[in-house]
Amino acid sequence: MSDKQPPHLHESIRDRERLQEIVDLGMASKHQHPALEELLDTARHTLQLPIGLVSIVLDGAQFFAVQQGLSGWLEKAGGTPVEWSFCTNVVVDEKPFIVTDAQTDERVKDNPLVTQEGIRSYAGVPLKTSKGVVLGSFCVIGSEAREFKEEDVRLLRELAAKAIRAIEQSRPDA
Amino acid sequence: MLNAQEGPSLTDALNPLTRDPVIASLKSLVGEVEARRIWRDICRDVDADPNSENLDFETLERIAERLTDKGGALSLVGSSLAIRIHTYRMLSSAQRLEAFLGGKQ
Repeated sequence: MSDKQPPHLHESIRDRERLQEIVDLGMASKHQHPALEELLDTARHTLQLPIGLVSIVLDGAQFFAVQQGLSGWLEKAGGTPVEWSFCTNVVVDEKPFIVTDAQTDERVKDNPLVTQEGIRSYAGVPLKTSKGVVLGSFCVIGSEAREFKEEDVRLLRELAAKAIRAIEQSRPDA
Repeated sequence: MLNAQEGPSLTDALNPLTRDPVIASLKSLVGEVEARRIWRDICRDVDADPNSENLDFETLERIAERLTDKGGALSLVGSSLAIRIHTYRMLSSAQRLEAFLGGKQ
């Protein structure tokens, strides 16, 4: 990021055009997304990580449009306040956000999802529409520190591209 | 995400109990006049005082549900509000709120 502002306060999170695109694509509330489930499943199994999310970053919260591997309150809440979302970094920077060891990473080590929920590793890539709008992040999460290779990120990008195509093809007014 | 930089992140995340962030979200999506009208209408629907700054959880949950049901831009505001309320309620009921606020087990 180019400034010191926390990502959730960045203007892009509240950008009206971005939020409208989320609404237009019907991604602001819970629906069944079998195609996304399958893509997320591929990501988790290939990278051997327990948690996968299609996280849509709204203005006040991240919404888990698809979630796999979560438990407890995170699963039930279906998202988190935007302040705790790793995925806001993906939206703000419009590029992958990689955390290899959250306990030592200055960007996230004080995040309660790290200190209280045990998130240790994260790799998320932008869910960018054909209009160039980043809805959120296609990401995998682990409870152990780990490296992510270039090919891992490439895989996530490919799966995110397929996810966006599926989302746009199921656009309510399509 | 909360990060190591300065910002009111933690307390913001666990402080959903005012109308102002909801109205602010509505304004950013539909403009001020429409936001005020929608807020009044929703409050009337759920039997809440539109002028009250602090609303209880149950009322806020009804407001979130109502917003989500209306679809379109309002569903986005409803989803955000619902997630924040659910987070607060679940951490409160699990007596984990203090740990999240203090960042310790």
